Amino acid sequence: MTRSVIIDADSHIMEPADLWQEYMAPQFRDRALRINVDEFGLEYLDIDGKVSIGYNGGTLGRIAGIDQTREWMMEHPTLPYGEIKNIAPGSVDPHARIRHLDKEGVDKTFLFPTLGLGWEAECEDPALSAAYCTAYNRWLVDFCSPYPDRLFPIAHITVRDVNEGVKELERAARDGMKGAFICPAPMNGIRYSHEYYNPFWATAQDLDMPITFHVVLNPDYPGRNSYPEDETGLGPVFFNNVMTFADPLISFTCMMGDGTFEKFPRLKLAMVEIGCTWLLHWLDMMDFKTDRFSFDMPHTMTPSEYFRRQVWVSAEPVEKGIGAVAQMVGTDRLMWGSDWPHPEGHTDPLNKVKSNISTLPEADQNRILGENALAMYGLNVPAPAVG
Amino acid sequence: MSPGTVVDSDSHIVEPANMWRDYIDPAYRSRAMFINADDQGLEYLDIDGKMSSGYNGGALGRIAGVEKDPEWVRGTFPLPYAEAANLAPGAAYPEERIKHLDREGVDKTFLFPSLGLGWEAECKDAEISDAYCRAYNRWLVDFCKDHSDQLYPVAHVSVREVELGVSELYRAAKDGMKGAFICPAPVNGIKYGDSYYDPFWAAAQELDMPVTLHVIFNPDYIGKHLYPDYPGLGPDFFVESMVFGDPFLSFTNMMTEGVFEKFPELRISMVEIGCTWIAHWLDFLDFKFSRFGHESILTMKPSEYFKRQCWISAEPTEKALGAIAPIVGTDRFLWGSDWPHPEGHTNPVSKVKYNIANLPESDQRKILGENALALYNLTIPAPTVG
Repeated sequence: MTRSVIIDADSHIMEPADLWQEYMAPQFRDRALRINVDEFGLEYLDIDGKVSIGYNGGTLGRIAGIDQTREWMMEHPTLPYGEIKNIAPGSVDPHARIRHLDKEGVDKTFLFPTLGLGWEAECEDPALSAAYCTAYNRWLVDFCSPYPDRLFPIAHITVRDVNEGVKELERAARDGMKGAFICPAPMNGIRYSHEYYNPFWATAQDLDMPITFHVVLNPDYPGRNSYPEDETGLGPVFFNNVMTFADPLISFTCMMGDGTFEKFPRLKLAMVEIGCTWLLHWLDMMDFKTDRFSFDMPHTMTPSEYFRRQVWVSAEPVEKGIGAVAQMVGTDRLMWGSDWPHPEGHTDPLNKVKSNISTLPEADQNRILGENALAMYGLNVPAPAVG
Repeated sequence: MSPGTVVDSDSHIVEPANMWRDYIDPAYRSRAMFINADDQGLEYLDIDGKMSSGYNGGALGRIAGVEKDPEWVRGTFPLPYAEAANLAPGAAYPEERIKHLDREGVDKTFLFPSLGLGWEAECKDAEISDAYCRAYNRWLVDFCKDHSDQLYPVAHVSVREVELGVSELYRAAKDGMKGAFICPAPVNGIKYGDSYYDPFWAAAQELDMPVTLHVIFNPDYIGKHLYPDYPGLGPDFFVESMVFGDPFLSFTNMMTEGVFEKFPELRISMVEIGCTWIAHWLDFLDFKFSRFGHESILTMKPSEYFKRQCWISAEPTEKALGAIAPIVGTDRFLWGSDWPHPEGHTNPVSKVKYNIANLPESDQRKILGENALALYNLTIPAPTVG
């Protein structure tokens, strides 16, 4: 078959430990995110002088554990962050990343952070949060600069203070970034459908910058109250890791119900790392509930129609229902993401995705494998090569 | 084709307003639930002397609004609870229910409450909670008794105090009830994966009583924190969409904590929250288990426990049921109408059939009824030629 462009819509870099000290504006530099060691000599992420709730206890090197077995994870309860350059060199070096993409058969990838996923809930200062984002974004542009047609930097934006978010989104766009992600749970307690964020959605729409809900560590995730006895942690890793599904689901639903997509018809929203097959239920359910309870909803279309107009989701490569989603929801809504090199990421993702969409027509397979991601980010679809 | 036995796994009665006073243990009669009127004369559900935060404002008659349009459902005019029985006589009178089932082409149905879905989160007293359940269960058995092969009473059991729940489950089983439901969110704050509930799961397993997570009004539902400024619970659309959250979370917690490992013959069902999402969730759980399950007590993949001992009820509007059922296993799927609630479905059998028309007839029969019979250990009648 014709070889499609292959795009991994969700993969990660690992930030240099001194990134924030190097890239932050001088007035914030002494408060830069950094890796520190506790009294036992174990590394933790230092967030404005505090120990991160999630990134601590000497486990930071394990965040690149994609290729490692469960046994390896058990044998390495701690691993220095510096080890990452050895276990996933492509996450710290752009040239190595290109070699990795070639090996995986991936043409282009959109890049998200690692340490950067760990601080936002725990940094309550909006100005400092914005400075952390700007530093990361400037660094990421540099990381991608040798390979502008293969490595695409996605900006990290904090909307804890919406005006800071608007400013940084504009700066990031000027700097060549193709899209941005925000924390799926609003860290300032204001729901994303609230008019407070209207300037942000308006700016994203005007700049044609897709906004992604990418899972971020949220110590107060839905379900956290199931483990009140675990005072300092997050509850069992198996449970807290699957419940990362909830924050984006809740925020997406409240935006749908309160008319964010009605008000901002050119806003593009993507959800990654939470699968796609759940949409089969969720769109039918939202359409039905709209039909029954839309008395005070500011909508002019059904939720599934808004979805088909301006929302994308990234499939997990292991989802057996991807083909069904494509047929029922629309083949142009789906991307896929590997989450490489995180421990919850997927090795050999391309073959896994392909095996779950093999029943679809070739043109639809090509959309899911890469063309939809290009379309969402407003990139050109290359003329097909015969392969 | 012959549809086989058609079973609605989730439909409702509307309780008589005086039911708790009539059926509750005498010691608790003065604290029975009843329908009271506020200072403006608007009806509300009185829960042990307190006003329900969900069932109030004179809107109780709307609980039977299955066929009404959104303006009616949300309307501000009062509608007395007594009107519910006129709107949906089959919810109040067994003979009328049989006529309703005949019209809808349903052979059997499993019955859940209406007012009874409104109190459990707000009644903090475990003994009173237990007494409320027992009164309802006794009444429901009476409601069903003349049509014992068509109307099946599902017990309401409160596990706020687990030992009380165990006793009521045994009593209900002895009284002929076929299964029980519990509140999807643990109202005592103890997660369902906690060993606190082991005696209850053990009893359900021993009695062969399936346990259903049926949506219950929860003022502290998942997502409520996003609407601190909102009068009431939040916008209807959001509240109604997020009823998914509690059963979803509790099921997940039971799975990750190994309840199905510890109680291999326990049977769980989930209703009123759709089913096609489960295809995603099982793939997701299996994968996360392969990466992060080393500290759990599971010895099999989550999907294997699901296929052994969990069932899930489809919404009649789910278009992907036919595509998803074969991926997960067609014997896991039920369907429910939620009749006569406003979020329920009319003409459900045609809707379900439409969504599974691609499946072989034997699979269609499973989803339409045989799976429900299997879940509740009822005999599958010999097929008729149709």
